[in-house]
Amino acid sequence: MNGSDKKTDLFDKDEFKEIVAYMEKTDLEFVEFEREGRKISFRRAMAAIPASRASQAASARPEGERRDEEEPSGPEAFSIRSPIVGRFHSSMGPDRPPLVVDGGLVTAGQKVAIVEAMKIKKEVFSAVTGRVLEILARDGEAVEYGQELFRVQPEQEPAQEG
Amino acid sequence: MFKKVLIANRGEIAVRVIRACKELGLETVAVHSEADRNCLHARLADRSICIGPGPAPDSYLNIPSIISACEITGVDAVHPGYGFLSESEDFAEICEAHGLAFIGPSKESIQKMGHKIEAKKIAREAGIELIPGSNGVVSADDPELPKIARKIGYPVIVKACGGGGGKGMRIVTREEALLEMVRLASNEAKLAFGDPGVYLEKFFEEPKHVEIQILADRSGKVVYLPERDCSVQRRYQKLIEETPSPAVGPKLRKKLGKAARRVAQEVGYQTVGTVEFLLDKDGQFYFMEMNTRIQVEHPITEVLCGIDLVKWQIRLAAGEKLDFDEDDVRVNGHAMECRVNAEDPDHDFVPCPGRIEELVLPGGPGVRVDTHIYSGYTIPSFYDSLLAKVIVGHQDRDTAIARMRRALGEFSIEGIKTTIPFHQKVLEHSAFRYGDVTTNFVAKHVFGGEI
Repeated sequence: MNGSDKKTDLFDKDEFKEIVAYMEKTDLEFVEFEREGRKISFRRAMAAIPASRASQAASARPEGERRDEEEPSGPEAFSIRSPIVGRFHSSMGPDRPPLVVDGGLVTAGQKVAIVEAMKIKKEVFSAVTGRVLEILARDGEAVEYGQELFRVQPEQEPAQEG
Repeated sequence: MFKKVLIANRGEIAVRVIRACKELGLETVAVHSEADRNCLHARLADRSICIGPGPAPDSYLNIPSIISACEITGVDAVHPGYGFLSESEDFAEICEAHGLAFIGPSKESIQKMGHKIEAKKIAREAGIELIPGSNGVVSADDPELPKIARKIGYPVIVKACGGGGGKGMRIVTREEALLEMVRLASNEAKLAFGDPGVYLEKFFEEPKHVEIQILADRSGKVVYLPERDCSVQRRYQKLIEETPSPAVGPKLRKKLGKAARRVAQEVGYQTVGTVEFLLDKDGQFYFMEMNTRIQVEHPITEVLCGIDLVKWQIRLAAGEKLDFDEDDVRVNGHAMECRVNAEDPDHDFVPCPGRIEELVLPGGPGVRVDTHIYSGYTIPSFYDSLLAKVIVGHQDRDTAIARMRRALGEFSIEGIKTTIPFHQKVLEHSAFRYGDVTTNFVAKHVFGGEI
C-alpha cells in the first residue's frame, strides 16, 4: 500500500464513544464490527441471567405450546429459562459443538445457550454450578419467554474443614 | 387474505379478534404474559407464546418480544386490538419493516390523528367545526394566555395533547385559577404521556359525546354507520354506550356521518376508525378526536346494523373492497352496551382483582356477552378492570333498556365486586330513561346521592 493511511485506528474516537453509549443505552451484550478486514468486538460484562427454580407444579398450558412440565427431578433441581422469545441454539454456530451436554457439568456464569431473535443473539448463562439433568429444548426450536431450557442439579458445597 | 394472524393484545378483545379470524379461516397466534398464562385468549388461539412477565411494558407493550413471537410463528399479519400498541405509529412502522401487515390504518394516519392538535387541523381542513380553543399548545409562562382564555370564554378546559382518558385535564372557571391549572395539567400530562403539551378548549356544561364508526377501503371509499352515544361516563371512562343516540335525528345523523367521512378522506384513512364529536344542547356538533383502531363499544354497531366490524377490519387490511353503502345498511331497532368492570362502586370504583368463584352469564334473545372471564379465573392486577361487555338489541330504546336490566339481573359473578349494581341504578334512573343523558350524568347523579 502506498502512502500513509490517515485513519490508522479502526474507529475514530467519536465512533467508538457512540458505540459504547449505544450499548449502554440498549441491552446489547455483544457487538462485533468488521471494517477493511479488521475486527473489533465489544462485550458487556454480564452477570448470570437470574433463573427461577423449577418449583411450579405443572400448570394448564395452552394448546400448541404444550410441554411436559413434570415435577423437578431430585431435590430442588434448578431451571434455566429463556430470557426472551426466539429460537434456541445449543451452540455458538452451525459447526460448533454444543455448549452443554446431558449429564455434563456447568459452572455459575457459564454460557449454556443462545436464543436468537431478529438477528440478535442473546446469550443464556447458568446461575448455578452443577450437573445437567435434562436439556429441554432442541436446537432451532422456537422458545417463548420463561420457557424451561435446562434442568440442573446444583452441586452441594463441600463441608468446611476444621 | 392473510394466512396467520398474531393478536397483540389480551382479554376480551383478543378473544373477539380470534373469533373473527377463525370465522375467516385464518390461523391464530396469541401472545400472553406470565400473569395471563390461563387467559381465555391463549386457550382459544391455535398457538400461544409467552412474551414476558406480567407488567405490560415487559409484555403487551414489549415490541421486540411481540415481533420475535411473529418471527418464530411465521405470521403474516398482526392485529393490535385496542389500547396497548394499537395506536403506536412505531409499532405500525416496525411491523411494516418486518414484512408484517398491521391490521389498522397506515402509520401516517395513526401519527396524524394521534396528536390532538394535528388532528384538529385536519378536521378544520375537512371543514368540520372545532370546539373553540387555543388552536395550539399553551404555556403558563405565556403572557398572552389569559387573553387566549378570555377569547374562548369561561369556563375553559385544559387538555393534554398526548392522550386522553382524563389525564392532564383541568376545568377552569375563573381567570385567577388559570395559570395554576395549566401547570398542574401539564405536569400530569408529562407523567402520563411523556408530553407536557396542553391546550385550551371551551368547556361545555351539558354536552353529549357522539361518535361515528367509519369503514374505508384502499380505493378511498368511506362508509359511515349510525352514531353511538357514549355520554354515560365516569372520569372520562365510558360506562354505557347506545346506538342510535336519543339526541340525533335523521338530518343530524347525515351531517355527522358526512363530516366523519370528510375527516377520514382528508388523511386517506383505511380499515376502520371512529370520529368523536361533542354535541351541545342546541344540536351543534364539534370535532373532538379520531380513534384509529377498533373500539371497545364496537359491538353495539354490529348488533344494530348486522355488520361484523372486526371481520371487515381484517378484510379491509387485506385489501378487500367495501361492497355496501350507507343506504344498504338495515338499522335494526336500538342497541346498548354496559361495560362491567371489576370495581367496587360503593368505594369510589376501586379495582378489585381476584378469583371468580362462580359465574353465570346472561343469555336469551337479543343478548350478547363479549368477555374473557370464566368460572375459576383469577383476574390479574396488571391490566384494566374490564370483565365483560353486555350488549343487548331490541326494537326500540325502552325495550332495549328493559332487556339490559333483565340481562344484568341474570349476570352473577361471585368472588369479586363488580359494577353491575351501578349499571342497574343508572338504567332505572328517570333521566337516563328519558334519554336526557349528558357526560355530566354520572357526576351529577352519583354526587347528588341518587345513585
